[in-house]
Amino acid sequence: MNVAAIHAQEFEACQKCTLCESFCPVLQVEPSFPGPKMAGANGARLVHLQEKGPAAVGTLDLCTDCRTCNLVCPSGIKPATLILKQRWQGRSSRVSIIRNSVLSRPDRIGKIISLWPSVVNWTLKQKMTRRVAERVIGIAAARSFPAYAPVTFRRWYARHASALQKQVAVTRKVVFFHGCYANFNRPDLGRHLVQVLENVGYEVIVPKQKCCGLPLSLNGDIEAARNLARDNLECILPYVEKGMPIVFTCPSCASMFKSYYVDVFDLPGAVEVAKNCFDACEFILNQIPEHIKQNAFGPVAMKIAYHTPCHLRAQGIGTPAVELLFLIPAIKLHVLGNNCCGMAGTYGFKAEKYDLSLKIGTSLFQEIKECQPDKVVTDCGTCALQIGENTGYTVIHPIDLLFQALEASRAMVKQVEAAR
Amino acid sequence: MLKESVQVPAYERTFDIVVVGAGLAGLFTAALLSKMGMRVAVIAKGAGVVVASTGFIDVLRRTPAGEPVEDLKATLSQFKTHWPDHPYGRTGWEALAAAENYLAELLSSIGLKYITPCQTANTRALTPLGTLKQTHLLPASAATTETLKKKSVAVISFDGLLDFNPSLVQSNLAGLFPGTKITWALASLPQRKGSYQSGNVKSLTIAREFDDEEQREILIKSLKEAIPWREKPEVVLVPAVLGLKKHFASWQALRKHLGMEVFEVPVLPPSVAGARLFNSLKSVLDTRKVPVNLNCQALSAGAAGGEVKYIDVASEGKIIRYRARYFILATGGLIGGGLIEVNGQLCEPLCYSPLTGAFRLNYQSFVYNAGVAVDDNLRVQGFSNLLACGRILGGYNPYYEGCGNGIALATAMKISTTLEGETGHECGCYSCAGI
Ligand SMILES: Cc1cc2nc3c(=O)[nH]c(=O)nc-3n(C[C@H](O)[C@H](O)[C@H](O)COP(=O)(O)OP(=O)(O)OC[C@H]3O[C@@H](n4cnc5c(N)ncnc54)[C@H](O)[C@@H]3O)c2cc1C
Ligand code: SF4
Ligand code: SF4
Repeated sequence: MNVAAIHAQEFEACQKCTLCESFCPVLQVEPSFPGPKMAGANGARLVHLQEKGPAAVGTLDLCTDCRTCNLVCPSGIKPATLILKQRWQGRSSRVSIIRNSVLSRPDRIGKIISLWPSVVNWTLKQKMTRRVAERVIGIAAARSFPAYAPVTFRRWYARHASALQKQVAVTRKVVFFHGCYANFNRPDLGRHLVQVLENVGYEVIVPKQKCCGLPLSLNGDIEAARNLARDNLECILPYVEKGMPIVFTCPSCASMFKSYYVDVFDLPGAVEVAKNCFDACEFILNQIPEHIKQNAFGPVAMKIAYHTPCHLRAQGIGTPAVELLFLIPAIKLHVLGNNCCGMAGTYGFKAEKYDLSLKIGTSLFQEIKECQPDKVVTDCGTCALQIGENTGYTVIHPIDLLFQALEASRAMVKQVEAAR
Repeated sequence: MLKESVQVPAYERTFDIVVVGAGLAGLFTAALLSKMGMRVAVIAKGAGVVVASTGFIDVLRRTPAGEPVEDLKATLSQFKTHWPDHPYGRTGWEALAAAENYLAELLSSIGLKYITPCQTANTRALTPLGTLKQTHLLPASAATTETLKKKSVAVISFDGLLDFNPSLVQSNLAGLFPGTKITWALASLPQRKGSYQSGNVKSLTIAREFDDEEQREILIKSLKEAIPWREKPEVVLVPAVLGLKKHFASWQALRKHLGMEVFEVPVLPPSVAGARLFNSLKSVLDTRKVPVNLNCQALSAGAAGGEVKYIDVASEGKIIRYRARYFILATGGLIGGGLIEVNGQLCEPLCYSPLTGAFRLNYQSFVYNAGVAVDDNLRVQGFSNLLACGRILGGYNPYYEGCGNGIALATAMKISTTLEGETGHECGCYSCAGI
């Protein structure tokens, strides 16, 4: 099956209304980028008519795959997908192979690094290493790599699961797809989710899994990406068949499962799995009434600026994190305008795109600085990296905050009991 | 592409009101109803056409009979007798005036200034082509005939800007204002890499640069250098690119630096002014805790006994069922996707609402006043809890009458009157605990 094939019904309905252009974050800062209407709908038409690859893959690479264009198009066109397909068709081997293997397989790299995280973290911080990285493999020197945790989430989970004394009887089961970020970089986030779910009687299952395949597909190796997807579906499908929901803390992984595995990769089992995939906050908001009832959360007296990741918005579920955070007493929540942070996964790591990546994010960073929050909250790991690096603020995941609010509520209950 | 609609929803969400459509009509209805304390959600498959528009609120250029409009208030008050099935026949003048006031108030609360130069008559404002069009409520920075009644006016654009043609604007204006000396010039854009030279800079790119104080200064400097000072212009016209987020600050800074009046002329789509209007309404709803969920295509409605019980919505990978006491159909016309053409017949594909009016499109005529049939309170005929507003309504032709955004506002206001007295439900259940 040719995954990159473009079908007429994918672009036919374009009415040239330019709504996609109005919102494309790259087009707003980079004049050489043709934009979603020209590169997506029109480009696809040309490729389709001439039955040959596109001429200007280089400029198509400027697309961050934020999918904002898919979201706003009134005619149901998905320019982002059409751009990606053209990139797959016209892929040349100009780009650094080493870089792509570094950026495209966060799971493999993570595994290697996790053997010796402190050394790697130190090495990655050195100016020398970074300069070499920029020269040799084209990774922006100014970019700091996310720190790798000493103990991965999976290792923690293995111990946790065997030692688990069930305080609450298990009534329901849920599967957690942690992805690379929660496993290697933020295992505490994974822990927080597990605890938030176990609190209300869920058993959290962490099956075998690989990278979701998004970095690989954006860096051009579509076949390898599809293989990862197939492996993941094989691992996850049996749980879905038993009626278990899958939750994600990473919006990009979630969106891969919900959309690309189905629409683009067209893999067996993808539809069934997609129906049972939930963003973590979406799951809590809609499936756990215990957490949503009044007084479930204790107060967290903080001013929070919330950033909506592009791949969360793309899921068509609104912003469940915002709805949840509004339930926390004493919180002051400011929802930041819809602006792409510019990181777009591995995009912002690339030396030639580093400046552009910052330029896209400028108005977001500015809004955050003007808001002067105590912390910034966002669901996406790479957004967090970009925002942290460019504003100096601590950036956490909404689940971290929910965890904190649940702890606060427990502390309050204890206090009341002690007073009695 | 319609997705498979016979699917079991993954879960349900419950609100007081669900608005389908994120155009001007949908967003403004949501703003009005959330003010009344209702728990509102907006779901839409894409953004509304207002983004591509000039951002002007045109209320009525001519009556359905083709007569010009002198006194807006008097003319609109006659609609009830002359065209009772026209949306204005149901809203009257009052709803429109109240809606415009409230919109201006909302926008100014987040820093976007809109004005109505004359309450009871149209104002003539400049179009992207340098012609005039009749409109009513518009950005304070927009160029109108009043602002151009000067001896000398300079039209300045940026070299390489695609969506604006200053020489065309100049020559059209020269015809319209024979007593005014009108000149045009191009300001050079600061050199950078990329294709700035090859003439394809987008208006949104420059608008974003105006948002940034440093770059704003550079742009202002180059505009200043381009002005033909010898002609002693009293007013400078620039394309509407003065800031996307920081519009007011950009506009003020330019006026201050030039020491004279500056006004904007709208650009061809993608339009900065339209995006400003959409973004501002969206952020008002953010502060009101009203979710605006995009990429949510409403697939089908579940109705029984004339009551819509739920609407099934396609999100990525799954179906979500939205329940509410009232549903607002603000799905737009053929362009927005609220109406579709099936075998030459128009159809409202979500609730299969009854339609009224005619649709005929050929070389001789463009008749398009078809849309959903409603009662005087904008209830869709045959339904008790389904109301409609904006372009989806039948009985008017926004293109001929020049009233698109005016109808969107007035009908949204009318809906809020129809639902007056309804209160948000306060049962303490999880869906209302947040408010
Ligand atoms: C290019 C252009 C320029 C214009 N310029 C002006 C102007 O300068 N001044 C003026 O007064 N008027 C102008 N108009 C007319 C005016 O903008 C429109 O009449 C008015 O904005 C209509 O708004 P609406 O909210 O009713 O519909 P729309 O803006 O069309 O919104 C429809 C919404 O419904 C959503 N939707 C549709 N079907 C579904 C579904 N099944 N499920 C979920 N969501 C759905 C769409 O995604 C969209 O969000 C212009 C129109 C166009 C096309
Ligand atoms: S792709 Fe969609 S949003 Fe973009 S111009 Fe075409 S119809 Fe409009
Ligand atoms: S995916 Fe994002 S960056 Fe790419 S064309 Fe669409 S809006 Fe622009």
